[in-house]
Amino acid sequence: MNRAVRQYVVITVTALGLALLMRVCNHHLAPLHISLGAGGLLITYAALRLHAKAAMAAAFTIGLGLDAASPVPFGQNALLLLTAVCLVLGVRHRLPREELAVGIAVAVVINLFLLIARTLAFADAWPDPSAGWLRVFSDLVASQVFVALIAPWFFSLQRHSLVWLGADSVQTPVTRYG
Amino acid sequence: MPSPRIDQARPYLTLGIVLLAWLVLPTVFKRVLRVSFYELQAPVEISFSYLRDLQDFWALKTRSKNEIIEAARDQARGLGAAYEVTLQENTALHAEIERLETLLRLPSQVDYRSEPARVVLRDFNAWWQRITIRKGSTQGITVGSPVIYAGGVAGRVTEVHAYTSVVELISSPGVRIAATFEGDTRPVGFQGGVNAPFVAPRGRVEFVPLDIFATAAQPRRLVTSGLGGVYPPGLALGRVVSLETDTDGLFKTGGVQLDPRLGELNEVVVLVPLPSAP
Repeated sequence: MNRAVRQYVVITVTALGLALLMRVCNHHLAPLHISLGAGGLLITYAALRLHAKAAMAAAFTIGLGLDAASPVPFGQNALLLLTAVCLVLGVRHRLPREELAVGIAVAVVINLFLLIARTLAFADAWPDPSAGWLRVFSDLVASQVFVALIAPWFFSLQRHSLVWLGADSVQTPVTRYG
Repeated sequence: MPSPRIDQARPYLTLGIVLLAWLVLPTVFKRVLRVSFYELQAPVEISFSYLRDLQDFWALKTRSKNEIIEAARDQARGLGAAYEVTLQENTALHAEIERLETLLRLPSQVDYRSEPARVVLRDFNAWWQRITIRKGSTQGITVGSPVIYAGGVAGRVTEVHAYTSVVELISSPGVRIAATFEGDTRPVGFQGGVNAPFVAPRGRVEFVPLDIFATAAQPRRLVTSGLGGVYPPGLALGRVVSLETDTDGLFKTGGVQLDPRLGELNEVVVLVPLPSAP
């Protein structure tokens, strides 16, 4: 198996694992009417540090996994994540992408992008838009704090998994787009 | 080697190709892909649910048998007698309905089979409120079946998979149900609402006749009307706590307070419609 395929497998499996843990976490938070979203975190490491092909393929697969468990048109999350990865790939050569703080900032920004995109797609169904935006804002604040807190652990998990499978980007420094 | 400009555009080119390919991909293929992705993840979700059950089991194991028996006895005290009376009333009411149906030559109402199910996952956010239950097409669950719990109507089955089903709750903004006020036969519209954090779920009632009044101090109970054929009539939806006249002055619109237990569901009952007798 070549390095890009191994990177794709590691990123996809760890991200889908985190998505599942998020669903369990939201199950327990449901009585409080708070929902956490960490879509941005799932693809940040791949978008910043890995081979472009592996990052894009992983983002699309992760998105399909999220779509299957949500009542959204199938492919919506996949295309949104793919767009986010493309945008990061376009600017990553200008960023000190090995820095943890940069990783957290990118995850938070992608998370914001995903939440706003989804809200715009569903806002029509709200009977009271002001209450809807208030709820989105409270979920956003909780999600961003949560993402910032768990990002170091998740990046470390992905990095160690890549090293363990011999697919770490440190061994082959990434060029601009791949 | 491609020029830096082409190299820079490569991810966007890929995005465009994927987008185009996705748009022309046959729906059947997408459907198969969705089902495959769902069924791949479902066993892990279900195993989390079984783990929670195991956790509860071991938590109960830490208590003595006498303690558990006493707790159950306290809970059951009085309930047995109440259930006995309700059963007798039900039998009498069923007989009355059958007599009236025969007398008026009405088609008999839809019968349901109760299918209790444990909740695997709750998925509540600003856009939808859904639960996944541990019963699916294997147990005969069908799309559109009403789902109830101790507080009344929980929602409706929207997706059925092999061993799990997805239920959209009545607190979901996209849900609309024909309802009536208890003791009134005129239909009104119920819609789920957006649920603010840390407060009980809420809904909205609309097309309420002007002679109906409700306040937080004197709330009115809202029940299903039976219109539309999905929900049996008379099931509790919530309590109307406010009503205001619309700008056109023809109807009233108000807020519905839903049962707080709706956010903590662990077990529900699916009412599977039985095929009508020929």
